[in-house]
Amino acid sequence: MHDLTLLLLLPLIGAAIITVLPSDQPKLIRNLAILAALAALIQSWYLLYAFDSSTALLQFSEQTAWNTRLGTSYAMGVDGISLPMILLATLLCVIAIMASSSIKQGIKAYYFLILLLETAMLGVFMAQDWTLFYLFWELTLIPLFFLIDRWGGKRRHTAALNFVLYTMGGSVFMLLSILALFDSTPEHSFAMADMLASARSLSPDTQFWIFLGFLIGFGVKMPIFPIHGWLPLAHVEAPSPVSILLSGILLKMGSYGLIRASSMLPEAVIALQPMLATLALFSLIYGGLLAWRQSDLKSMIAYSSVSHMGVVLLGIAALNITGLTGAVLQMVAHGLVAGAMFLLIGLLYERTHTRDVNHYSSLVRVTPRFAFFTTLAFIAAVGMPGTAGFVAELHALIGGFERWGWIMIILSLGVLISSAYAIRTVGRLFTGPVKKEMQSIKDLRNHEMLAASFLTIGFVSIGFFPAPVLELMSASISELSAVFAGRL
Amino acid sequence: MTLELLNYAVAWPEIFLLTMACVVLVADVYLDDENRNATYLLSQLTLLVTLVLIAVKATSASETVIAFNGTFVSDALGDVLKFFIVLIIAIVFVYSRDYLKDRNIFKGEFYVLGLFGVLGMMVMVSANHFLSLYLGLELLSLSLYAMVAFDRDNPNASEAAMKYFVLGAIASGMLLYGMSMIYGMTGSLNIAEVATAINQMGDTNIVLIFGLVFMVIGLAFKLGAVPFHMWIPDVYHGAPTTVTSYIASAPKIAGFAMVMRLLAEGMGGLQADWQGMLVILAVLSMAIGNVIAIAQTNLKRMLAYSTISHVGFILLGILAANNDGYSAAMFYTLTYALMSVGGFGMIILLARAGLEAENLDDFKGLNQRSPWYAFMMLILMFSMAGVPPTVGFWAKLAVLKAVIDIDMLWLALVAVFFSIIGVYYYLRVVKLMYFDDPVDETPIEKSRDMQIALSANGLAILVLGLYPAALMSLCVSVFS
Repeated sequence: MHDLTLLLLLPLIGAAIITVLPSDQPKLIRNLAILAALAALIQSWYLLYAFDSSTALLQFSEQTAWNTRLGTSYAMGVDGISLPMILLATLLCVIAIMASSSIKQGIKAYYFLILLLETAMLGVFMAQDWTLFYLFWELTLIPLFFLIDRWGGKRRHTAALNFVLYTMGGSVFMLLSILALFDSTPEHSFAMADMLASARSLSPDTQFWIFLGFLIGFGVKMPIFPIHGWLPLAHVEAPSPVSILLSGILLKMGSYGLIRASSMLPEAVIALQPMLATLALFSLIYGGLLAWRQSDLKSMIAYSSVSHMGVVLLGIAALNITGLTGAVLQMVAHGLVAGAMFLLIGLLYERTHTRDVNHYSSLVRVTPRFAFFTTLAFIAAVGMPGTAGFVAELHALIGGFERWGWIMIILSLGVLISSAYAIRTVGRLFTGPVKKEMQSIKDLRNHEMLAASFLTIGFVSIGFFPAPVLELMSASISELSAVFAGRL
Repeated sequence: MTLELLNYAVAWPEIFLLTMACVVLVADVYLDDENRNATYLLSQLTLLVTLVLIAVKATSASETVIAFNGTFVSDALGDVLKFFIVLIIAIVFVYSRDYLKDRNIFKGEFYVLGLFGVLGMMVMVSANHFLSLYLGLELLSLSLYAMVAFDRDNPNASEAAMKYFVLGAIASGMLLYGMSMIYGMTGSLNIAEVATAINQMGDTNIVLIFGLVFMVIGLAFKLGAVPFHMWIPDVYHGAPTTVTSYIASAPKIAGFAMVMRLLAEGMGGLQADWQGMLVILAVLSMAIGNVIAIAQTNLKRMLAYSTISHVGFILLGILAANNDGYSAAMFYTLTYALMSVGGFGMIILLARAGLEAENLDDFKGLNQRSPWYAFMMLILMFSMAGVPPTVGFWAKLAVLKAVIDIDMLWLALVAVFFSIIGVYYYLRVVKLMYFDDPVDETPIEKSRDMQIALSANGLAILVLGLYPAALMSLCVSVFS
């Protein structure tokens, strides 16, 4: 069997086995889910091992005709941009499942849906055919709808519905763009490679409209201001493990898709470059300011995601090697950091049942492990040197500076805002006067600490040794930026 | 006219069905209520043999044959559509038995009328002549009027039948009036001859266009396109659910055939005119259907409005007026019929003596009562909403592709806009099934054959979604 199909099937097989297990064996089901996610993790690391980072070509490609009438095919492949996303996705799925020990009801359905979600997300990053991509893209909605609506917080019904309708509303525009592109593809095929060639030769005007459809579809997911409305609600109301996946991977699907779409429609991206940059900087400041004003920890992290994804968009908009590298790296960094923050805050919430930062105080004495990991995660969110976020933001900054010069001060302003709320939050959580009701909180358990340290090691080691990651994606990014270099 | 000219061979399925419908009618008179099952079995056997006959004919001789002095055409399009009509009615019959028994209306008439309705649809599909088309249509409609009023002690059903009859008669009148104008101008009722005559006259002849308008109105009535949709919610709601599942499924396939025969084949020369009319009908249907469906608390009414919106999508494919569009519309129609029969099948599954299970609340907590059927309903709802990987997604994709191909992007935008609105009410059903507590804990007890058929029906939606190629190629091949 092909490596990518195997990777796609591993979580699915786990999900299928879970459906036949007796539901009175929660431990068995949980362990099996962890096992399936671990198997996928190992398989993705095998891909990394076998991956040749010196070429920008697709690797592990496979293609089977699926519906010849419509010109769709089951085509998969990875390159230097999708492989980091796959590694991130498989890692965060393991973490999310490990962090799910507080889920007590409907365990069978819960783990089934999480594994189904993993398959769909991996499918998005591996698909090399636009209909297949769209299929996986929409398939992520079904498990998420149930996960948020069944296991979420108080306003979960609104959140789930909002999330699904928002994303669908965006993605149909993407579908129309795909169909419009297909219309101009002489090969009568939805394969990304075929569409790429014909799309680049379209007139700038046509490209512009088609790209606009993609921008709406992917922008909702990323999210870009002003189509971010679903995000705070969904992130806050979703159960914590699902929030990890939402901000860690789901948002990256948006920016990943945007990168793929920009490589198809270079003229349009160049025409829209100023607008993209403006939106990016606005999202960055706007998300930061709103995060600053939140007292609910989860909604603070949610808004900080808007801000951090602004950096990704800025990197993409720069359209040069440095900027694009920054964008992809920021995707990885934010995945790890936001994953860690949602993990820790989620675990904290399990113990205290409050997410209001003002209720906390002086936790460093009772929960030193929490304090250590949370502080590290918040520092990484600010983009302190020595963490992955720093390398990513630096790249985006330099890339943007090459393009727009001193306007990039706004980016630094964004960083300033984010350090303001990060420091404040850490201060509120761990220092201050001793509160009685906060003295009986249990510290991180061993397996929770293991999950947290995986993520921490991830963003710290990329922070100190970014070279291997940069090398992994360099060939693909050079090729991508070459497309724009000739046109700018 | 010699007997050879009649060319009986191509009409064997229809002839067999007619004969057997008469046999069932007579046999049923001699059966008492304990043996009523025999009528059912005989009807199913009839449909089964008809299915085989159609398949044999389709595989042995696929070229187009005109028979019965130019009134009947046998072609690949007709064979495929007939096959699905018979198949879907067979499913409807499987679903009907328990429901009818629970209400003490398990009578032979239902099956006899049902068989005559199938015959009417088959004649419509194979019509090559205005009169044979009209005959088929009336045979179907009259059977349906009687079936709606079948539960005669139910005032809702009687009211629905009355409405259906009056509006249906008006629609037939419109259609006939249009036909008569076309006849007056072209001098023929034969669809092929009409087509040639229209091509010679060009598309500026005002009487032809008048005739066309009346015909489109008649078709829109029969299909249930806005603004000629008023009968649909009331009839769907008032009729016994088995009859609703009959009306909502196969007749749409026959309606598609009717539109194809009349507009695409007969009035191809007036394409520029009817295209514009269908645009208006399609946009209004998608808008009104999807928006009003949100306000419904009765599932049958909700599905009625959803039907209206699906008709809009089917018209969208037809108005593309090329082979891509026709095959997309055909794919949509066939899969829609399958989804629709499944959707009403679910209502029948939950219904029992004294409970119609037609309110949304009756689906609350279905997942706790029966996870399997909740899953089936989930597939059906997602497919109607057009969420991949169900077949509904491919149907919408094919239609949208056809519309974009003819450079009507705005129409595609309108279509996706309203389908997003549609997602809301389909999701609401899913939500009720999975997240609410059941109001009614009665276990679901239905006969084995119904359970198997419904499961197969649901799974078919999923499997066709994963492997759409075969059915789609079939739909494309009949138009090339």
